[in-house]
Amino acid sequence: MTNDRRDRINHWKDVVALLVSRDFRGRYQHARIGALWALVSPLLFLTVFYFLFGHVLDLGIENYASFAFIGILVWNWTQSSLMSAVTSMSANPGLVAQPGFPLGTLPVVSVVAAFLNLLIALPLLVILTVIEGVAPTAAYLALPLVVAVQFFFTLALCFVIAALNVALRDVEQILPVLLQLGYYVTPIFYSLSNIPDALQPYFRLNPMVTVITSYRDIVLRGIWPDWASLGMVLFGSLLLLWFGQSYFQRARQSFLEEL
Amino acid sequence: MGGHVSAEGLGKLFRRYDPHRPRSLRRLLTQPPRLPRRAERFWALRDIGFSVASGEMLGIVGRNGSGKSTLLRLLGKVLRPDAGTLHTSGRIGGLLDLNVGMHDELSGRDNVLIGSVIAGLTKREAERRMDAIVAFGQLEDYIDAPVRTYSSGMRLRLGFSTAIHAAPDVLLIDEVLSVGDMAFQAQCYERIRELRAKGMAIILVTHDMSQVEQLCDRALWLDGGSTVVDGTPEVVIGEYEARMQARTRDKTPQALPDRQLPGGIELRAGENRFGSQELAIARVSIQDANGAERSVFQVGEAITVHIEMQGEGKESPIVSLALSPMQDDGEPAILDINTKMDEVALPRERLRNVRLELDRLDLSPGEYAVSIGLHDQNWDYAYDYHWRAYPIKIEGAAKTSAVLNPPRRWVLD
Repeated sequence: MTNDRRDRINHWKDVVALLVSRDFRGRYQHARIGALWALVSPLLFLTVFYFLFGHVLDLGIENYASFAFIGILVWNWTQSSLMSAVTSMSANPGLVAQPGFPLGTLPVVSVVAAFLNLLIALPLLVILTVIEGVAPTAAYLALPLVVAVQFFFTLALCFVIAALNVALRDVEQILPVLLQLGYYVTPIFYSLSNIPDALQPYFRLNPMVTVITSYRDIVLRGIWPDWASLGMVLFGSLLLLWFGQSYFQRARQSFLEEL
Repeated sequence: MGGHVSAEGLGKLFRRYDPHRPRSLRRLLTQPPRLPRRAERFWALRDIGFSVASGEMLGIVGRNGSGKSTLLRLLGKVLRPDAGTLHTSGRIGGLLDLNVGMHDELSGRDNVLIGSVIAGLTKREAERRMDAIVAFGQLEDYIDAPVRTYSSGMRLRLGFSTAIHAAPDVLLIDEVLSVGDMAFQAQCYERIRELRAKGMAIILVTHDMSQVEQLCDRALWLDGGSTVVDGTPEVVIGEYEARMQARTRDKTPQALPDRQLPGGIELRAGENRFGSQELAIARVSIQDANGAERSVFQVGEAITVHIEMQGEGKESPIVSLALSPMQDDGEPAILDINTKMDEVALPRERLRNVRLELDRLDLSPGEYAVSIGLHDQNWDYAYDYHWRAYPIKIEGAAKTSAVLNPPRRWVLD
């Protein structure tokens, strides 16, 4: 039985690896500059923000280019994961009907594939921080943990929306709107300190605030992240993941009746 | 390898489409609040029982909407039954939706790996089978090219070859065997027989009775979600064809006027003419190689049958032609062909004429009758069928009473 379990885990891993590589290579195969396209959108946003909030409406944030770039990259990871996960069931009826196919891999594929974009941009971020005069410190060691927290949080949401969108197609309509609003209510191109003190507790309810702040603490300030709030988000994310995953597995039985 | 499936009293309830059920947020919000009422349900599948042992093959036949695909999904465990029990052993795989998950921009090789893990293999197992998969699909020269550049036939061979090499213990096949060219189809049949011999349990859903006859040990005929007949292929096919004839008879309009045909036979609805008349045979002309209408031919002469159609069928028909001796002794026809088995796809619209050209007809002299039919794509019933309505006479020196009379010589050494 343990052998069987190991086979299943191996199979799961292979499905995720091959589908991620399919999505990634399929997307960039035809483009002249290939995967460098993953950099284009965040860099364009960065340019606009740098110009607007570094010069036109100066927010008074130190090392603004690196600061905003972290926000953009981190948010993009979650955003692209959710956008691809939301239709991962409804757009793949063939896979849903495939006997024995582990459907739970698809939300994972969405999150991992989107993470690759972040990885590609990472060297650029490090260069940017060095240009702005911030050197990497030992705090970088905490990065994998923050990545893990964001991974679990995003994955949990992905399971829920992927399953939800099968029965209620409005989810895929409303999601881009919510994400766009999220872009503004999350301190991506501004800092939490730009917000009136009285409102700050409300902003902090957003787990992405903790995630983005942790990245910035590590990369820009060279300090360890706030373990307490990060731990809380981790705990909440794991709980949500457990819930999302079981909701997904239960809903899975009726996917084909809805599709 | 070696799995089995047994089902008992299997049933599946579907919700009938309820126009009041909110499918979207807008409906949910704008509808006046109502008491939630129980959704109306119906049995899409009811009381299905069978068992398929290792090395056996079961055919499931029936019209569209008879519950075949639902049954296959229950067996694949991607739908949960609402009644009955289902036991399976071993890994379940499917030849269902070929090429699912594959990507056009990637090479054939990449897609074989993707297709294989989707079908349940690990990447390493897929790599081990790569050569066999490529060889079976005859894709050696193209396997590193992007699938985007493949013809539809190559794509199909890629998908099929990948899926069939995943070698599950229980294999579910949905219709896909009827695609591909004849040679590839023959190869697939062969492969399926091999897999069976190795102990795979196979369940085949199909429209095509000849597949059931050639491949299956048993067959199950579903209609409206219930089993109509469960038995050997001969029994099921016999019953199915009888039902089809009955359905055609029911659909034949009573008021159809009789028609005198040039060959001397009178067409009478319900006697030698059957069919719904959605699409009718307006005229049949039997001609020689020069296009002259004739009813008498020499042994071995070329014959062309020209069929003119009339009416607006909902979809493109299957055209059939059968030839039998004039004395009807209940024997099967000596020639029985149709556009479907010859893989001639008729266009959906504006088709008026079909011509069948026979290069030569090596029959013994005698009198024969030609039957012409237009059928719906699923062979469910006939649009118009003229039974033994067109006589032809073959002339020559009568030397044999048997039917065949090929050109021949005796060589003496």
